Amino acid sequence: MCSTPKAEDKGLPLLEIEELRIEFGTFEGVSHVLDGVSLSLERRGTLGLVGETGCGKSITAKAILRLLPEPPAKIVSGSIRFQGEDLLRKGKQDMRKVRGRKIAMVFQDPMTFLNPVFTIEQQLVDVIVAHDEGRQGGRPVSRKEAREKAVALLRDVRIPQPEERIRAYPHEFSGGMRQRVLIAMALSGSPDLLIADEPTTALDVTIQAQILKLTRDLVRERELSVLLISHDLGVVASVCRQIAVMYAGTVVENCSTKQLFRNPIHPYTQGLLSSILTFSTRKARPEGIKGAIPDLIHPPAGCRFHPRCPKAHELCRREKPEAVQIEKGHWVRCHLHSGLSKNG
Amino acid sequence: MIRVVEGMSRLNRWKKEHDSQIRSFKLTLYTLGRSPLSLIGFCLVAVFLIMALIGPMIITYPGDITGALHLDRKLSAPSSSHPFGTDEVGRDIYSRVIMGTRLSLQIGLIIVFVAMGIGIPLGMAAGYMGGWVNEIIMRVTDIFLSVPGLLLALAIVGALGPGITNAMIALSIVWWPGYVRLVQGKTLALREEAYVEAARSIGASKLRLIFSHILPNCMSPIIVKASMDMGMAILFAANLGFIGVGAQPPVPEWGAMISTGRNYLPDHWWLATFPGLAILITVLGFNLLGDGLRDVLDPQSRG
Amino acid sequence: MGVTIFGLSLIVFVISRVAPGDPAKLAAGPDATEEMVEVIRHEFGLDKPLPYQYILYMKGLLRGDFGKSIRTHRRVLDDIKDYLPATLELVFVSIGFSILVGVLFGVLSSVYRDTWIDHGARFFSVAGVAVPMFWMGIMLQILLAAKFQVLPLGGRLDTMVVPPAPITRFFLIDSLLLADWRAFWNAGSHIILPAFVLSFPALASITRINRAEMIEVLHKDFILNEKAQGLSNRLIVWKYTLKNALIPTLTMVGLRYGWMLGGTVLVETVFDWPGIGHYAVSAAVYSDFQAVMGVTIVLGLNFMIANLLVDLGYGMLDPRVRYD
Repeated sequence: MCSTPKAEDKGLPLLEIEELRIEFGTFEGVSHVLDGVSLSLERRGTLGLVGETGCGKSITAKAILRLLPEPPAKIVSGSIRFQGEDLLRKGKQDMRKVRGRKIAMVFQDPMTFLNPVFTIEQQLVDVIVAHDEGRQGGRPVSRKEAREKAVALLRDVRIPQPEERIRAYPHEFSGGMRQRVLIAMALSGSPDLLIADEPTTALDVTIQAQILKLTRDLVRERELSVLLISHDLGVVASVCRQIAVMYAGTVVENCSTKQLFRNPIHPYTQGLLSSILTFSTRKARPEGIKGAIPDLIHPPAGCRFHPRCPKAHELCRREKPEAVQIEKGHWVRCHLHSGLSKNG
Repeated sequence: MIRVVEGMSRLNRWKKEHDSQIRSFKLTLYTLGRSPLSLIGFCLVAVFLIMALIGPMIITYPGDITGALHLDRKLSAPSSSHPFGTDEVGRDIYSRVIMGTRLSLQIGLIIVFVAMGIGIPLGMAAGYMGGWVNEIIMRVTDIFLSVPGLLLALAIVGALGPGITNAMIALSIVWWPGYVRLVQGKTLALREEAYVEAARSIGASKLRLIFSHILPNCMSPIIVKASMDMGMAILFAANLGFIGVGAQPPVPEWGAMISTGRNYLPDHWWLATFPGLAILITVLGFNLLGDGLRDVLDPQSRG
Repeated sequence: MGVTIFGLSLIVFVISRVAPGDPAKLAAGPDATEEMVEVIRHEFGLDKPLPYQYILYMKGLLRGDFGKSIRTHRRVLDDIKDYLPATLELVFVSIGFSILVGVLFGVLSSVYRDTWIDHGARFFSVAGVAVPMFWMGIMLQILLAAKFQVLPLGGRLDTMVVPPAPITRFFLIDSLLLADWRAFWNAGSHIILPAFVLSFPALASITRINRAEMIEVLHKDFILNEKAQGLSNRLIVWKYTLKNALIPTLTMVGLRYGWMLGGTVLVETVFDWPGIGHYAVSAAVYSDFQAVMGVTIVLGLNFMIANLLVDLGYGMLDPRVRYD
């Protein structure tokens, strides 16, 4: 079941995740981390995935590239279609060809995500050469050419004096610069989809703004599609035109950014907004959402949000809600609105 | 009936109060039990200790431990009456190996305890007092650690003369610097901890600080190190015994036995083989146990 | 480092003078007369007061003079010069073997985690440290030299084989340089067993720590990033993970080198290897102080140099610790 309309004239969505269910084996039992995640992203689209820590957004992102270690993690059911193919059915070698080349990922904390004992040059060149391996036809790229390409990439992400700085080690860069290097690395294979997992969380606010601007520029220049994951609604809103709100392993609301701020439907989304916006709501102080995220080894029955929901009723405790369209392009999973018709 | 209910509710209260301790104890058992190797180590050490304790009761030829001569039986291969065979003067090797267990236990305990007795106070003094006291103690420790242990022991025994006592003295001298380093590091770190500051600010005396705050927190790595050192100390004592500067024949020390047995190779292989197996099993047991204890007590450190 | 050497010499000196018994009498032998003993005492400077003896000793050390061996009646320096190359050759082959094989096993064990390769390597890495070196040597001698006669029993060369001309005094290198294949083969077959036995505990320790470090690094974020960028597993493991894991492994190598130097005492005795370990044992049994002190200082120095090399190695591996 799709949560965004297919009626747009972009053809097949670039990425389509359908009812993804993932379990994690832990010391204390099986954790049901993803309980039917569905979302879709069209070409040149920008989708933000928002939620609290622990809601499963990072796991969703890693699942797309099959980066979850499959003994503790188990993909129970669902599909992840990229350009029509189900990535979950691909073999290891095929998956390796997708990583970095079709879909690339930018991670959260640039200090820990760059190898400390190798220069930026070595790491970038190896990645560029690796991307070239899968390419058909033509001469394989030489290390010299790869190096030139690496310097060009650093220039694209606005790192000053790239020819000199490329020979430095990660610890010689500042946080913002390191993040740009990670972005450069991700772009080196000219991917169609860029997944950014909390790309600004580890950065200062001013640097955050720079990186977000860079991201918007790159999306425009390279016709990239972006899946941006963050717990910060503000960050997501500044880059993405679509937003999917996640809670405890499910997407509870999916709509355009404008619709989210103008007309939030799901009680969780409303809670999120009221926690941050003070001047545009009638309330004087921010309100939190009472309670805490549920224990995913023994998740609540029915709608997983019901223990914290101020509007929960009997049905919520028993049955999981289906996705329902409130207005055009705006879907919610909530029993409060299941009665509404599909045209808002 | 009321008594039972009372007892049950008291038990439940106790459980609640000590919930976190119960949980960490369960985790300890889980971790220890999870590793079959540390269980094996525990069993081996247990066997070793039992042998050492009941040794005199299970040996077949008590007279053979030292002096006896049975030249008619000499150099006979392993058999039902002599499971490990007999040595060059006819003594039963099985009895001697078992008694060697007791001897090795004594040797190991003395070396480790003397080393701890010197090393721990020095380490705490160095770590706690800092300044030039620390400098001097650590410098001296470094000097002792700059020479490979067995060589230093050899030099010391070479000066003092061969014999089991001198070997133990030499090995204690080789071993104490390790404890100084360990304890000094820990003490230095703990000294800066908040709770020590707090205790100091309410006027606790230096000695009290050391004994009730710093020492308990050093105990975990010390216990781990001591259990591994037991095995190593016994091994080194056997090394010295083999060279000829440790225990002297006819004492049934495993290393010395192998040294003598070496002269009767390869035909009479049993003289050298069984004492060596005893060393191997003992040291292996202590090493495995020490490893297991480290996983439980001191997981951040690495060997 | 200078302070350490100074301190070491002081300690060694103190040890040697603490001894009971009269070294002069010992050197003179049981039949010596009082006069002969006095002559020897004077010759070795044993009649002077202790601090004066120490100063004499230090002066000698700075010149490279370790005194005279009571047992061999030669200068200790000459004895050491004769025997040191054999020990160094043995130790270098051993440590080289332990590093290469240990790192290899560690990597394989971490990659094929929880398979029989891993379980075997882990068992070996724990048991290997517990095996008494001298006993293992003897057992291997029995099996391989006596029973199956695959390898020689001891010594550096068979008596019939002429040693190669002394260039480096390392038989393996010299025979190669001179294309003396017979000597090379013979020296090689003789060094296999003692080097293997000597390397065993180090091999076990290095395997162990390398495996543990590899596993730890493989869980790190930057490895996940490299995987996400599409790099091959081979490249990730052997280049990007290994270099990180080698840093703590290097520490273990340094430590184990020290233990290995001590182990030469045992292995050289078992295999009749004419090195300074064997020399030290004979000296210790004989209460030959000068010789024992000399060996202790020389090997202590060797260990210190090795530690310096380890420090340099850190700088090469980890750019974060370099000061430039």
